[in-house]
Amino acid sequence: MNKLYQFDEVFDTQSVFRKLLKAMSYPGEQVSVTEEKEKLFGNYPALLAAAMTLLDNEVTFAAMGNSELSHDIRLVTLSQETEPDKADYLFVTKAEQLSDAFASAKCGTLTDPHTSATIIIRDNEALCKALCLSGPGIDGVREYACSELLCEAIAARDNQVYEYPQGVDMIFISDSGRIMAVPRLVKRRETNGICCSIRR
Amino acid sequence: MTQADHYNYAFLDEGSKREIRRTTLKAIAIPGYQVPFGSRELPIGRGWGTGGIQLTLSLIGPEDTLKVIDQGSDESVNAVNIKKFIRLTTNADITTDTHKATLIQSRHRIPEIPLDENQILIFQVPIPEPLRIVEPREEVTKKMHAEKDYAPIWLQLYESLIRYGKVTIPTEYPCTVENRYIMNPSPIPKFDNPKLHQAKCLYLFGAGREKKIYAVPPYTDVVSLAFDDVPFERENFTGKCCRLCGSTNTYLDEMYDGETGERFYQCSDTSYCKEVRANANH
Ligand SMILES: [Zn+2]
Repeated sequence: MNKLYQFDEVFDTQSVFRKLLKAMSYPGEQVSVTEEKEKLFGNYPALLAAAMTLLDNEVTFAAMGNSELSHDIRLVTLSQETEPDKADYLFVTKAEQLSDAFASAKCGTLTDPHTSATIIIRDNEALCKALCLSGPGIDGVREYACSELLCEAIAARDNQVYEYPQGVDMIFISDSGRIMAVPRLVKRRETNGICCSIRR
Repeated sequence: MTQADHYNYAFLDEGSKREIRRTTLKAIAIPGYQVPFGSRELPIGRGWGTGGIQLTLSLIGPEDTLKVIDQGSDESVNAVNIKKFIRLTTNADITTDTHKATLIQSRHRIPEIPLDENQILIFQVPIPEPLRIVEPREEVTKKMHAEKDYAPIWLQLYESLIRYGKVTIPTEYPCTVENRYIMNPSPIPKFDNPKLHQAKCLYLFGAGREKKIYAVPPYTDVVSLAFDDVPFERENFTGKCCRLCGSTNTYLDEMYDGETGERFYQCSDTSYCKEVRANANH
């Protein structure tokens, strides 16, 4: 029987996990799962690579109305789709869903902040912005190349005014397999009054 | 067929690894917070630190080079057995050279050589809860963390200051992570606490019996508890040096010669000590 994909559930998930770990540990830095996602199928192979690495029947997800993605995730992970306000992982494939996603995403409690959701955002935009970030994983304040969408997502998150340790962690994944992460403690910093400036 | 063919790669089933991996990412996002996970039974002796081994098994891949130390030594019985177990199920490259390791599992020490961005230090932690010394009930300590109610542990430190003139916690000296959670840094000596602060590497902590994983991400503030007028102090080895390599800037183990009764000192980090001696010979 031919398998739907060549993605190895042991070694490719290990490799994708280490890249997600790197991205979460060093926010703003780019990692790539291009090689691993080539072994998956459909229109969202890079998102599926992350889903296969993190999701199973112990956790839930919301595909925010993207039925193709929802179908593919359920097929390969056995994870159940649920409402965005109950989901452990939210997959945002359209920019206009950002504020809805943040408005509904679980942010955990002060006692159990780990019960918060992770928002996985499909981000195919060019890295045309220079964004100053600071927080754990970042040596002081550093400038990173990022997309307009990433800036918008941070703004949408900040609109929720979470009380830390409550919060939501974000992972940005492009169709080409580029991954960047912004965990809850990472903040946007203005330098010289300029933030989200156009990259020269 | 090799022996390893009888086992899953890295021993754990993929579901267990996924849970540990999800937990690990959460731990990084909330530095110093103990994230609960469904710890697995492992076919190894208690006290080996199953939490650390489970972390290592969920991280390790064919590209990794693993170093395991116990009491600072690569050759201790525990370290050797853990290496055997992990190698049996992964065929991973093993090293004693801190520079070459991508994953380092430890319990009592942080290597003397500063770790880098491509390295992860995994601690096996017996008692993850720093507030356990002042409060036995888990539901209460969880609430204390939630409310950042750390007065009882400060009081404990203060009382020990009044009674003994100094804080009398030799290892597992508590520290505040990113100005929020008080964390137990595992049974490392106070000497190693400052190495947690603004490090280049990722530190992960696993407690198997207590079913907790926590993390100190790179470039994170980790401050050992202290009072304004009584600052935090590391062990002081002034006037002492390693009898093998002569180092005066390392954590030294005190030893006795059974026959002569002579007291001497030796680097606790055995691979660092070897490196210093090798470099001196060239
Ligand atoms: Zn020495």
